[in-house]
Amino acid sequence: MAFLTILAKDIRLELRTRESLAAMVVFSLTVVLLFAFAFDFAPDLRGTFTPGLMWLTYFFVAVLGLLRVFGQEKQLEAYDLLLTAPVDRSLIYLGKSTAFFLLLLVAQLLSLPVFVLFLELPLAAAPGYFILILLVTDLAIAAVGGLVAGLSLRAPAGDTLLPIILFPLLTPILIAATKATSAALAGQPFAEWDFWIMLIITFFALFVLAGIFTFDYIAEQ
Amino acid sequence: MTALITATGIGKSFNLRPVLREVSFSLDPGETVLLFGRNGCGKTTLLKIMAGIMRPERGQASLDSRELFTSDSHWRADMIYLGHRPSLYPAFSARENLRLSLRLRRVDWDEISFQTLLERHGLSGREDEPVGAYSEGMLQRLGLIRLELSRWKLALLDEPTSALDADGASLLGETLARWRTAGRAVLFTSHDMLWGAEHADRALHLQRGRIASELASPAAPDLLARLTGET
Amino acid sequence: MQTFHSIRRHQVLLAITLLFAAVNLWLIYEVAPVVAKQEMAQKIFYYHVPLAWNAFLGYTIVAITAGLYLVKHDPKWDIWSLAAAEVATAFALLILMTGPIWATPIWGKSWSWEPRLTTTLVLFVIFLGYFMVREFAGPYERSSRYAAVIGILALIDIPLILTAVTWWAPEVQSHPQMEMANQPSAILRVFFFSLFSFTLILIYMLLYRRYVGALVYRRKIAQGEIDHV
Repeated sequence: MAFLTILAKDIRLELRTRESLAAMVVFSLTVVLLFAFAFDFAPDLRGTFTPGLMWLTYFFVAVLGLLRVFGQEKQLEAYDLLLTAPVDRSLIYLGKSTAFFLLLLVAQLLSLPVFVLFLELPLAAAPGYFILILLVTDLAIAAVGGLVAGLSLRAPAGDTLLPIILFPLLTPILIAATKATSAALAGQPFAEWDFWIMLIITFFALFVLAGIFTFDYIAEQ
Repeated sequence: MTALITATGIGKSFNLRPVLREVSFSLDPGETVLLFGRNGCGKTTLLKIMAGIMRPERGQASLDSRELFTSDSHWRADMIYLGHRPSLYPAFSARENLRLSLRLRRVDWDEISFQTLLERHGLSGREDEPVGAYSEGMLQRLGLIRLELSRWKLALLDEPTSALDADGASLLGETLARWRTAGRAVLFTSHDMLWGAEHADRALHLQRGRIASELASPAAPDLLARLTGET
Repeated sequence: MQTFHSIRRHQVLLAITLLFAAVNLWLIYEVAPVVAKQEMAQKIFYYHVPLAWNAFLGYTIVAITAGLYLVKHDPKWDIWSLAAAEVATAFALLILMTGPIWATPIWGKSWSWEPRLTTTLVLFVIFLGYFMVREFAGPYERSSRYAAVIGILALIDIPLILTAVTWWAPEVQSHPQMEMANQPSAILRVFFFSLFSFTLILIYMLLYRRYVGALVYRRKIAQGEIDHV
C-alpha cells in the first residue's frame, strides 16, 4: 500500500514535470553523437561496438535519472515526509527504486531509435530477447542504484559520489548486459548465452535483499 | 497520569563532537511544551531524533509505551513533525501534497475540513497551484493545515512561527489551545520567546547537551531573564 | 606511556611474525626448487597468492565487522572495519603490482585482463569509493554507516565480478596459481609456509591499525569534549 503510494507519487511527479525523461533521452542522443565522432568505426566493426556503447550510455543515463528521482526529495525537505510517515524504510527503497526502474526503461525505449539509426543496432534480429535483457538489466541497475542514491542523497558531495560508488559495483552487469546483447542480436541460440541472464538475475536478487536489509541504516541522517 | 512520551539519555554527536549528551524529558497528553536554548544547542537535532529523521547514538524513548528508534515504523502514526522547511514537493499543488501526506499516514481525505482550513489560513483558491510558487509564510500555513488534517498524539514543531505574520501566529496560538483541550501534546521551538512562553504550559531549557532546567507554566519575563543570564 | 609495542602479546606477535618472514624468505630463495621454464619469475607466486589471500580475508573482515557495526551501533566494530579496509586495500595494491611484474617476462605483456587480477582491480576501485565516502559523506556518525553498507555490498559483489570477468574473456589465460595443488610437494610445502607467514603479517597489521584507529577515535572524542565547553 505505502509502496504503491510512493511509486505513484514518483510517477506523478515525473509526468508533471517530465524533466528527468527529457534530460535522459536528450542526453542519450548527445552521447551517441559524441561517440560517433570520437570513434571512426569501419562499417563492419559497428555491430561489435554498438551494444557496449549503448549500455555505457544507459549507465550514464541511469545516473542522471537517479539524481533526479532522489534529488527531488531534497527540495523543501520532502524526504522528511516519507521518513516521518508510518512506512517501513524498505518500502521507501522499493518504491523509489521501482519508480526509477520504470523511468529508466521508458527513457531507453524512447532513445532506442537513436542506436538503431545511427549506430546500426540490429534490433530486428531478436527483439524479444532484447526486451528480456533490457528488463533484467534495468532491474539490477535499479536495485543497486536505489540503494546508492539513497546513501548519496544525504551526503554533502553526494552527486559526485553516486557514480563513483555505483559504476564499479555494476561492472558485472555492464559485462553481462553487453555480452548478452551482442550474442542475442548476432542470432546465437539462447542456450549459448543464458548464463549472462542468470548472472544478472542473481545479482538483482542479492542486491535487492541487501537493499531491503540495509536501507534502514542509511535512510536517516 | 502516565506520560505520553518519555525520552531518556538521548545522545547525538557530529564528527564525535557531542551536541546532545544526555537529554531526558517526558510529556503528558495535552501538554504544550516549549524547547528553548541558544542557537546551535541542538533543539532541531532533538526534534529530528524524536521524529525518526536522525539516528541518535545513545538513548531510548517510548511513545504510548511503544519503543521508538527501532525498525518498527508503527509508532510514527502517532507522531507528526513539522520542520523549518515544510516537507513538500514543489511541483505538486497544496491539495496533492496534503493528500499524499495523509495517504502515507493512512488517514482518509476530508474535503470539507480542507476547504474550511484553507479559508481560515487565507489560502482559498490557491489549493491547486504548485507549492513551489508559495511564499515561506504560505508554506508554513500549509504545514499547519497538514497537522490539522492528520491524526496524531504528539506533534513536534520546529520554529512554526518563523515565517508567519502576526495574524498567522495568533491563529496558531488558538490552534495550540484547541489541541491542548483535545489531549494532544506539542513540543515546539520558537525564536520568539514571548510568543512561545505565552502559549506553553512548560518550558525545557536545553543547554550544553542536557535539559538544564525546566520551568512550569512560564511567565515570559522569567524566560527572557534566563536567556540573557545564560551568557 | 603505553604504546602498541609496549604490550607484551604484541611484542610476541611481532617477534614471531618477523621470524616467520625471515624463514619464509630463506625457504623461498634457498630451499624451494627452481621451476625450469620460469626460473626466478616463479618465485613471485610465493608472495602473490598469499597477498591475494590476505586481501580477500581482509575484505571479508570488513563486511563482517560492518554488519556488526550496523546492528550493534558500537564504534569498536567500525574501527575494526576501517582497519581491515585499509590493510586489505594495501594488499590489493600489492597484488595489482606483483601480477604484472610476473606477467611482463612470462607473457611479454604486463596487463592482459586476467580474471582474478581484474576482479582485484574492480574491488580496489570500489574501496577507493569507500574511502571517499568515509571522507566526504558528512559527519562521522553518518559516513561510517554508509561505508559499512558499501563494505557489505562489495563482499556480495566479489563472486559476481569474478564470474563476469571470467566469462567475459574466456580466451584470456589465467595466472597459474590454481595449479599450485598440482605442484611437487617441495614447492607446495614452501607455499603453505609462505601463506601462513603472510597471514601473520595480516594479523599484525590489522591489530596495529585497529590500535591506531582506537587512539584516533578517543582523541577526537576528547577534542570534541574540549570544543564543546
